[in-house]
Amino acid sequence: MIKITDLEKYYATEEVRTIALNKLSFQVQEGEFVAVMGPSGCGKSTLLNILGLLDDPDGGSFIFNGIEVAGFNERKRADLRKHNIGFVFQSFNLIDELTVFENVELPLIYTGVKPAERKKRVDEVLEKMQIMHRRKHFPQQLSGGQQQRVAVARAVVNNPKLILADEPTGNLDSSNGNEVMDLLTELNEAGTTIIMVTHSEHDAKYSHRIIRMLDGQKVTENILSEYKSKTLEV
Amino acid sequence: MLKNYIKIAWRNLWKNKMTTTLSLFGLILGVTCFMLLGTYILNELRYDRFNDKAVRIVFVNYSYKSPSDVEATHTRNTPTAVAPVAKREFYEVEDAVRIYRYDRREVEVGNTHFTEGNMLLADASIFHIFSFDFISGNPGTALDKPNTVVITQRTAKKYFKNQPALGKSIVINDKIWEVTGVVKDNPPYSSLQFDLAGSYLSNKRSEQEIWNSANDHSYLLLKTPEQRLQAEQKFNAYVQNQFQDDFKGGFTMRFDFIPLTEDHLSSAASGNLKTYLFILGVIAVLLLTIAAINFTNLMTAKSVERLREIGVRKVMGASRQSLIIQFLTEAAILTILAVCTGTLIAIALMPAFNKLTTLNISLTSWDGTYFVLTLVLLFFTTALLAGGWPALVLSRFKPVNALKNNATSLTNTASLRKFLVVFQFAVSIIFIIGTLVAKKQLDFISKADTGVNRSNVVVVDASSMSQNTVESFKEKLVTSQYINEVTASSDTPVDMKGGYSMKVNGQESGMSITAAPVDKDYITTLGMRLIAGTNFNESDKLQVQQPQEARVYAFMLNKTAVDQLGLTPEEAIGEAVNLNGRKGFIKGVLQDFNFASLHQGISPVVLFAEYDWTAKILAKIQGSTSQGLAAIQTVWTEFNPDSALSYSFLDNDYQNLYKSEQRTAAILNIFSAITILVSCLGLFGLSVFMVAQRKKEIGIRKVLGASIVQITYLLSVKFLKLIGIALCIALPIAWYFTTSWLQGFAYKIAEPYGLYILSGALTIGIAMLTLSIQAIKAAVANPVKSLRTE
Repeated sequence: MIKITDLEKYYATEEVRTIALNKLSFQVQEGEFVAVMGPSGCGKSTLLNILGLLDDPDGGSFIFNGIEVAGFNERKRADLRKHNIGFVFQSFNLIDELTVFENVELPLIYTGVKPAERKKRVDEVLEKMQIMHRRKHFPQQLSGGQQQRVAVARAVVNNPKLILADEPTGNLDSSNGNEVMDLLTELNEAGTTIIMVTHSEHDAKYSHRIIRMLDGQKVTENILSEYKSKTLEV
Repeated sequence: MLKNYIKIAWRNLWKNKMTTTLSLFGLILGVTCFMLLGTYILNELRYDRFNDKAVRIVFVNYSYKSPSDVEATHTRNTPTAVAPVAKREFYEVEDAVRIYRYDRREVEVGNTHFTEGNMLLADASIFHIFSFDFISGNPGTALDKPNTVVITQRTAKKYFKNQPALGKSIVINDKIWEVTGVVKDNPPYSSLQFDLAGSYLSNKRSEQEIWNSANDHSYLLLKTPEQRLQAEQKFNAYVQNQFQDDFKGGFTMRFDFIPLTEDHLSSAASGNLKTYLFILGVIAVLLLTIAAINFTNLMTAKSVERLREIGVRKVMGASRQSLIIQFLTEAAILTILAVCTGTLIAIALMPAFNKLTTLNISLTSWDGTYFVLTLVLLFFTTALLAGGWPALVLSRFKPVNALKNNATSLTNTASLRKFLVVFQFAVSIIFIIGTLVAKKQLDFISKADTGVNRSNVVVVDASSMSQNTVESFKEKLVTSQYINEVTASSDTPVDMKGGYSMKVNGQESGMSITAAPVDKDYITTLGMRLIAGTNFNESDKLQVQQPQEARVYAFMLNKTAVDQLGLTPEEAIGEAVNLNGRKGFIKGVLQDFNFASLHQGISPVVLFAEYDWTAKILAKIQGSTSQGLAAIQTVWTEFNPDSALSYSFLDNDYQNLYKSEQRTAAILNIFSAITILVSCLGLFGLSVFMVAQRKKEIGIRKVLGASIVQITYLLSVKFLKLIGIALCIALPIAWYFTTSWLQGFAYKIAEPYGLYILSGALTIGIAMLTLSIQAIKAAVANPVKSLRTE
């Protein structure tokens, strides 16, 4: 599903040029659950932003579903993103002015789903995430765990093929964290590909494979459980 | 989708109550002013356009110059020959009408007497050319016989109550006239105003085509509007051909065909109306722009706080377009609120506006469709003006930067904000300077020594009195203890019109001169100063009461006239004068006095004792004004039991010469105050925002020992610099505009540098006050608190 080859990204200020990704290469197959680990500043979040089509690389190749997307303009990236990718952030990134229902509904609005269908799908996913009773509340009225469940609901409501999670349990206590990880596992078992950036060894164990990074490069790769893909090649 | 936009926009506006209130308040003020000024401007612009054939009608202006004249004389009166000749000789002219003001008539209906101040005589074609709606009578034939008259609905009601007026007889100046038509009252936006329109055929001159005296207004109806210049050129060529000999002798005459639709705006009677309307239009648009800028500035300033929201939306798949619509919706909601509220307030304020401007405007000036269209247009323009820039900037962020709250790409919005603040204050300063300069100039004019003592002089309209009655009236009036002196004349000394030709010492060609027949007490009653010769006396009066050919006139020239003759005042005394056939001698020379608006310099004028044309009685009151007026009223009723006293104060007549200036100044006064208020609202909003942003910094500085003054300075200095820049930009612009406005006055104030300094100081003072509210609040706050909240 994803194949990156010699991916590069620099951040430059007037005096310093920082290398965030240094000729990074790996593949992720459909249905896989991959954890990316490494110390702060190793390039994990940069990688996730590029994989999520939020940012473009400075060099290398990025093939998504068989299409070269490095060099896509903002409009094309947005289009690809809204139909294929869901995001879960450490800080939830819910919009304070919107209710739970409206936050989850947002991706459906932007993909042009009709109101009746939107209501049906949002209700379904809220039910699934067991947050239905909070649908009219605003984010600041919810606990951290509840907020992250809303964020997950929002990430999956559009049935994306890929979910990118950036430290999804980072702001949660352990029981809420476990709940979120169980949710992600369920989604993965249902067929969604997940790439998760994490500091937590505990969370990483939920994945099939852990990629460890340092200074913008891949250092090791541990396979935790054998994952048999139906489509082995990208 | 739209519902979603509106919902979110509403919640955002509600959440940011302070910025919303400031923006909304400014926009409401902007819209209110726009609607008021718009209604006023529209009212002036649509003058005369209700006439179906308005675009084809031209008004004929006349100018002439005799060889000894320095400048040509321009007049709206044309010779009687103009209209019939134009119609007969030129195929471009479809129809023509002569209109003669026939004011101040005594009308008898049954046994009731009325004094009518608004009557004219017109050719029958008037109702073919102009569109006055007939209620009864035939517009085609109404005025085609002598002593027929068409009256307005209001007049018909006054004369005949609810009885039909058509076919009734009324007596005007002792002759019987038949009412042949009733028309609806003239709309206020018609420059042609009458209560009675009589047939021109009733006028002795009607059968003759006279060129050498100008008494009528002439309007021509062209076949097509495009033929105007061609017709004008041909007409002037015709005149030149007809009067070849006069032209050879140096006499010139010229006729200008002014389109009816422009006449009201450009005629001298309206003052500089066109310019003033333009200024007011600019004010309306600028005020609205300044209000829209507040929204833009507050929105972009707040945008840092909304970066995360923008990022999330983008991650969720929002396109740039949908974000633009999102932000525009916020501007649109505010604008729609402002347009509705502002329009309602404008309607409610219209009576007050009318009082301020002595106008009579109302929403009826608007055509229904245009009104709605204007509101819709106003809505879209303001919404785009206010929300356009924030929408473009905020939607441009890369989602990654937005999510990281990386506001570095917002620096260009900061420079835009600075630019807009400079713009707002530059405009405000220009308005303030303009207002102060206009006020000073108008004060200067109203207090200027015009060589005439206007105070306590009551002008009584005596045009309906016979000469004998005027004499007895005066004699009776002066016996009152409240009346100091009484005199009479044809024109008041603030508005002398007559264009005469004067020959001194048997000159070949005369000089054009303003002249007025006056009573012998005129000079003393009005406090004019003699610099040579002696005043009029009883024998001058007796002289001119002889038959015309035996009369020897006494003339009183002003200094300018004597100068133009190349004489000293002393030399001039005793020189023989021929003024349009009146023969006599120069008896005195007067110090120059203004007899028209101070826009014009003083030109030659001659006063002469004559008692055939008295239209005004001037009475100088001593002691109590109300008792003086009561005395005049008592004597008036004694002599004119059937008609009402009509009077004015000479000083007010003088002030009325500057009506359009005073009106514009009154509007400018209020609106420049509103401009600075709206600008300060924006500045206040920005300072609140900036203080909130720098709360932590202020806390740290205070912990490190910064004083309140230092913190206030820190927070204000940036804005004050901007206002300094605004001042530098505004001063030369204001100087340019005020100087060119003052150029239009022959008598004006000296370059008002003091006012520039005052305006600058005033603006900086007001801005500092606005800024210090927030700055001081932040400076005195407990630093521990601000550091903790961070």
